[in-house]
Amino acid sequence: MQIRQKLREVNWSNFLIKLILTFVLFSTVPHVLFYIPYWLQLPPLSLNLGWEFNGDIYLPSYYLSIFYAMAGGCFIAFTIVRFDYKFNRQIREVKTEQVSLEKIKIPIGGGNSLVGDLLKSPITPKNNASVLIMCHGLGSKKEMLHYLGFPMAFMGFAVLLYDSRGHGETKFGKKFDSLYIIRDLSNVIDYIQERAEELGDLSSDNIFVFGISMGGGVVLNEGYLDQRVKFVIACCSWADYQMTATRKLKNLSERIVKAGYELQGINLTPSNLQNRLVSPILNSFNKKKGFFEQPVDWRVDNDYRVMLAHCKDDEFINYENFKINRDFLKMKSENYIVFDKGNHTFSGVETSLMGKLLLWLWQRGY
Amino acid sequence: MIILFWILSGVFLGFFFYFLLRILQMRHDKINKRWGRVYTDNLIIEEKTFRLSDEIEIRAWSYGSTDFIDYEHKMPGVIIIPRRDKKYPYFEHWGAHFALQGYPTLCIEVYDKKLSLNKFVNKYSSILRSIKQEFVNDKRVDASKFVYFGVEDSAKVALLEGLKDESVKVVCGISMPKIHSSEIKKDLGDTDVYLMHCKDDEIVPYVDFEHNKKVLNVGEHDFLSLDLGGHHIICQEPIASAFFSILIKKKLQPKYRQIVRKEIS
Repeated sequence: MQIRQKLREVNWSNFLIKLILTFVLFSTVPHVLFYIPYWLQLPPLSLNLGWEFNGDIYLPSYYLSIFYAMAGGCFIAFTIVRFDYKFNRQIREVKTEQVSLEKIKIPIGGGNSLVGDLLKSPITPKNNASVLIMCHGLGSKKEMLHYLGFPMAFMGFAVLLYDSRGHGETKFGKKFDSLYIIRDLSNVIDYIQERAEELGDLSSDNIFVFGISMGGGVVLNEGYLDQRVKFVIACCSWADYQMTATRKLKNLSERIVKAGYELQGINLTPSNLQNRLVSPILNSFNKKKGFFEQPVDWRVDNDYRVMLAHCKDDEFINYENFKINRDFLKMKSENYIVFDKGNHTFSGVETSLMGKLLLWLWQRGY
Repeated sequence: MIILFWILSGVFLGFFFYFLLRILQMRHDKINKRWGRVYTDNLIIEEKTFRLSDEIEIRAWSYGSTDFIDYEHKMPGVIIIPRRDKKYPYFEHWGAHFALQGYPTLCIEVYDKKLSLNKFVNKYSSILRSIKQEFVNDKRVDASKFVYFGVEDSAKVALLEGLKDESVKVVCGISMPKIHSSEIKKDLGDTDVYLMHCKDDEIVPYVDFEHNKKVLNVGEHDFLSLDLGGHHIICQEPIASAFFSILIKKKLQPKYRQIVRKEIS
């Protein structure tokens, strides 16, 4: 039943069907071809092709089939390991007694809540602490951002990381509920406001949002629109969801990424309306929330409020997105950082990203 | 026809072994080759060679930030003495981290695996002294404020040399070997020592870190101890670098141009 349910959730696009068919063809047809010489040597044709070992005409085809399967299997393993190598940098957990971790539940209505971690260091003020909300990427979880969150706690922030619906410890919703995932950020900010009033440990006047990948999309949409948010920091985020999802793919790696998303049920062929709701250049930039929560025009000091980071070789959210965001926000070079290499996880440049982030915050009085 | 079999077999087995080797290589590199060049337009990188004697020639890399080209304030200089078992560019990320905050930064290559710890410390202490004297001339550097940042054995070089020099206001040490109280003077003066260690360090035991904390009189908030990461602090580098940067900023108070919110009409 679970498998049927999972199969039903898959986004069966033409692209995915074609890719699966190609895979099936490559894993079956060659085996048939290997046996053709064998069949040709059998009666009634009984051709003498010399396709034999010690008189056994079956063995060459059999061996070829095995060698091909070995090469194919190894290629699949290589692809999996390569993905892990490129994108899973966090191979050790971040743990220290110097940072306290409070498990929190953020109610978002309908009896559901998001599970979060609130990090505080001895430097974090006991009362009225500035809050940095960190949003993870699609298919990821809050712990994957601990390596960025812990140092921010040492800077004096109360760092709030949460699992989006369908992710990590949050056990309701689906990974592909993109619009709800974006809108949930507003509930997280509500939670901070309420807690600031009740307990007084957090400040509702100094709320920062930071997001990577899908998290970047969350903060550039919902975080940007929300005037309660003081600063927005987005790493490898999209500008136009439709453009990103339907772009011409450059290599096998990008095809596998796209197939992986569609297997999880993500809609990568959004309608224009869907696109409008989740693309910052259409939805949020230079706007704020109006009386009915709808985006209305607003003159924003983007140089003060927004920081962007991206890698040129990003295989998930291509670099074009960054350029569009940067140009749309008319950003000065000191408010963003671009790395030539680092892919989607800032692989090998995490410390550099951290350096730039610290400078950006210090230049704003933190 | 059987020749076709041999050709195809060769091709398939070739692919098989190629991918197998790549898998093994990636598994190895994932832990051992985590860092390399940092390519970004925000960095100014310059390779330097210091010829200190007929026998000693040291390569170093100087890092600066494009955000600080017209910067009117001089900034504290950071000298990084990285792991001695790694060559350039393995340590470039440390340089980039500090340079992107505006600190003129110099990374010295100390690739020297054969020397004993004592000989290594002696040799590179004098080298560090000579290089620092030249680094003082960098017009971006505030000659009265320096930070020495050392990793593993090199941390001992940074410490022992840094404590002798009044202009060195901060010494940062990652996975530093045991320091004997006889090796340092009792009064550390105005120099702050910040340390970082992982509890599962299999080369320098955690008790040595506790010992170093006491000997060096490290402040209550001036050390970072993480549960995992081992001797080479795998995956903990961003935390360590940011932790040190926060303390350095607090201690040295570098002046940053402040960006304030413009009034919105």
